[in-house]
Amino acid sequence: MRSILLIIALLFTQSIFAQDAFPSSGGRFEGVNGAGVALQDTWSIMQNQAGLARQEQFSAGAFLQNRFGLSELTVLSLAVVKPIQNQVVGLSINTYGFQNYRRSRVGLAYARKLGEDLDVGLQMAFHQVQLGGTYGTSNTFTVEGGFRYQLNEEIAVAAHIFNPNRSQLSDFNSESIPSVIRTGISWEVSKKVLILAEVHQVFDGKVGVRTGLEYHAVEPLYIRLGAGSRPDLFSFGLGYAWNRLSIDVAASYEQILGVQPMLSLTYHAE
Amino acid sequence: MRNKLGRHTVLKWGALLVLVLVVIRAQSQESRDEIVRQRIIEQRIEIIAEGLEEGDELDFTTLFDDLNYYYDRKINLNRCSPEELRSLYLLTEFQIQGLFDHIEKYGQLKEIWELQAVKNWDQYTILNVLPFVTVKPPSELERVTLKEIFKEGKHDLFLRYQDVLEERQGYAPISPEELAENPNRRYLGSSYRAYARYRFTYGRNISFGITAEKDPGEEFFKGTQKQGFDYYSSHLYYENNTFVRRAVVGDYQLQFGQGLTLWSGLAFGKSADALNAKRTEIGIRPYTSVDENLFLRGGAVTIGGERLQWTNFYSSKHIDANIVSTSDSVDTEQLTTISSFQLSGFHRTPGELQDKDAIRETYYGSNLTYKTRRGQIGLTALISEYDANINRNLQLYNQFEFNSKSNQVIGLNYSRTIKNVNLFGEVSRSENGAWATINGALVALDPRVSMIAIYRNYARKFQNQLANTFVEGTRPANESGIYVGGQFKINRQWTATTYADFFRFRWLRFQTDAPSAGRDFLTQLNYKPSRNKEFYLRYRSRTRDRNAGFLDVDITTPLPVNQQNFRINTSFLAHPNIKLKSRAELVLFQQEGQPIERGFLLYQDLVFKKIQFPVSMSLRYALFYTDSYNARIYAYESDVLYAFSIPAYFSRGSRFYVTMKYKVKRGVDLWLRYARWHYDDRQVISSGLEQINAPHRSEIKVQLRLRF
Repeated sequence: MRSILLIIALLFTQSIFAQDAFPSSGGRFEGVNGAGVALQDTWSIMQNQAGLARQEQFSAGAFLQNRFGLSELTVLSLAVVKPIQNQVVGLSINTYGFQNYRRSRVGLAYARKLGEDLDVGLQMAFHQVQLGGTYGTSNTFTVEGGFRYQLNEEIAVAAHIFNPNRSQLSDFNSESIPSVIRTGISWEVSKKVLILAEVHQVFDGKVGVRTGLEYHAVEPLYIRLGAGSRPDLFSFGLGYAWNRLSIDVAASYEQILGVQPMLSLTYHAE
Repeated sequence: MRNKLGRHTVLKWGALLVLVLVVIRAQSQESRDEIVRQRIIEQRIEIIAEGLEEGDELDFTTLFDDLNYYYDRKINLNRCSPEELRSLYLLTEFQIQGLFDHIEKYGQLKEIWELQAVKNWDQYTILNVLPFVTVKPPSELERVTLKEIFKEGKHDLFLRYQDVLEERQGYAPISPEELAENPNRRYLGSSYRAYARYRFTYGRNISFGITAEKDPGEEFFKGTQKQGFDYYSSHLYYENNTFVRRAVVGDYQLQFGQGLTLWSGLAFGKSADALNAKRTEIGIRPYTSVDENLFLRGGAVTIGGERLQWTNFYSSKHIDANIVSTSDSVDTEQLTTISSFQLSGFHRTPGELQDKDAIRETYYGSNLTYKTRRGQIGLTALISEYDANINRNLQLYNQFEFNSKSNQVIGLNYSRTIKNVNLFGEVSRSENGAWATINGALVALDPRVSMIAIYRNYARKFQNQLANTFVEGTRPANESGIYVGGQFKINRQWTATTYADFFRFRWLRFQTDAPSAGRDFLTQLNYKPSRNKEFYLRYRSRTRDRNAGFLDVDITTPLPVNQQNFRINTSFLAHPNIKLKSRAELVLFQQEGQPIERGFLLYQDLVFKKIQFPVSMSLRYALFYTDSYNARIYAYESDVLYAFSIPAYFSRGSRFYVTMKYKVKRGVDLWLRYARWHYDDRQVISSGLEQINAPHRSEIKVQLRLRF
């Protein structure tokens, strides 16, 4: 029974969550349902590397996600970001699955400012898919990049493209890593309210929308809410930010599959 | 033949009436104030109606009455209750709360523009409510005598006539033999609709009214309708800030909590006004409308003080139902069994008349509410009884619906504002032990950003005939879901609203032979560069499961059906007296595995209104093309006062209407309306008794209003 459930969940998550293209990462991003293409955060390293360009200190974080209560569907991510003069470099690691089915990737990111309002960033990543038994492993590389432009004091626009050259994992059935383009805005209504919205399109797929809201209710507490289509999810999150450490928890809800809880810890150097 | 003659008579009398009224008018002086009032009120109603998605006939009578009333007797913001402000339907809970907080903190308002400093109030809101509110030092209510009431009270009389010019099958000539064989082949009465409404009001304190209606096809003062109209409604209502707060005898409505336990009458659900998904209760209201089912008949009274209020009600009326058998039981008591309720209110054929007033429906119960300025908690009990056995032929999908002689529902509702958060909800239980609950939060995150979230969970066995709450299906049963909406004031000119609703039906539904799920998204972007120009874009996408009839297998499998609507709407004042409104709407309807069905609607409205000029006019010309009924499009139409419609445009053709209002003199208004559907792709419209053997359908309406 459990294995059947697992297969169903795997099929679902593979098709609708597109783990390679949208690696779950960072409780803050997940709290706003991943609508983070225009966010600026350590975890932008997995969403839109241009969001790293204004990082001024070293930071590092770990993220853990469990999908629908199945231990086999656990995601673990790590991020390390370091500014070097006017540029920022970073390392990201993401792994998902279990002994008989594991997808992993390791990426190196680079971001910088281009003038007062424009930031750009890119990442090269190595992907590996391991199948249990005699099936072996398959490897490939992807590139991705994006920009973020501060339109005015409140609004920023951003776009990101993942894997434009359609890297193949296997010649069989020309199985490739999905290619995704995302574009969205962030609107800082006040010091307390941040609104995010974006559209994304998987190549050959349909357009999906993600929206999110972050509310800085009181000093260290953040409340987050998100909703989106393809996949159809609601998300909710809480964040506690102290000087050096922030803890972000989130949960997203899919109607058929249920709830996925998430947690991340991020350290920021003074 | 008979019909043709009728039409001529009508036109002749109509022409005469116009002439007489023209003469009456000759001396009268046009009041600028009246025109301004009508313009303002109609505009407010339109703002509210535009937000609604669909529905053929809507009843905004109560709302109209309220706005008219407050126009005359402006709400004194220094001395008013939250209920009064809510009944404008123009303010959010936070704006109301903000006002009370402001007064508490800074004392009485000195002048109206101080509202700009009140938390959560903006320019747009202030302009909207301005005609209905005032700022005065608070004064005590004066005692009034009965004599004053009759002297100061207002009388309002409406007479309306409407008819379709084309001959419908139900009125066509037929041989007596054929009719004798099939008596339901023709309508008994004539094809016009007649409506009369009289209402006396003294402020909000006293209201007395009679409403009467004859539907098309019903007889009038003869045959089966010896008493004249088919439907009569009447009420006597009292309201005051004394121990007996409200009392009504006759027809009335009751609205409590979030509508899960008891709510009759108009309510807003999901709409482009995303924050309006929260209900604000009114309690007892007099009923003056023409829906022949959705009201209570009997009496109700609310007693108590400012804080604790106790309402008791009793209602008993005959309703239409389809009787299957009448059996004499042992103790000679007759027991009727019915198979279905008839909700149409039509009594046009012998068959329909047979179902008329077949059984007696009795409701009674009580509500106890404790109110403070920041919140309320209320307990409602409702008992319903029928004097017949209800034995509906239920199918697998609706087997949990109400199907017995009686029911009891009890519910607890709450609403509480804490800082910038308003929590509200209701939990309710029906006699069979099934529960239903709705809980939500309204949050003003910023003066420019407000959010709402509602979680609902209605058990499949929950039964309540008088519930009217937030729901995706038709009744609050067999449904759970999460709704999140937001309103964003980006700057002075741009506003955005949006909602997302995810819902699940854990049991089968009509035409859905499996548990199913769905979602509904709406986003609207408004651009208002100046007071007289407005532009908006709306996108809606709704997905639900429905049986795939096209699959050639024995098992019916539900597959997702997606409907997307794209709308562009503009309106601007082209000339000080001429307003132009245009709309284009595209709908894409598709069931998985099937081709897309498209629908398109384009219309142009022209509204002419001139101050100091007695005639105003509203015109529309619309072109529509839809592949199917699935791809139909709804659009609000301007109509004679107190009549509202949001008809469905489908098939291929055009639509034209002109509504004219002529202010004969102070207190005397006349409306004329002509509307016509023309279809390009068919020679026959409708079917059965409503069938018209022509590609067009034209309707005329005449309405006279007297106020004195």
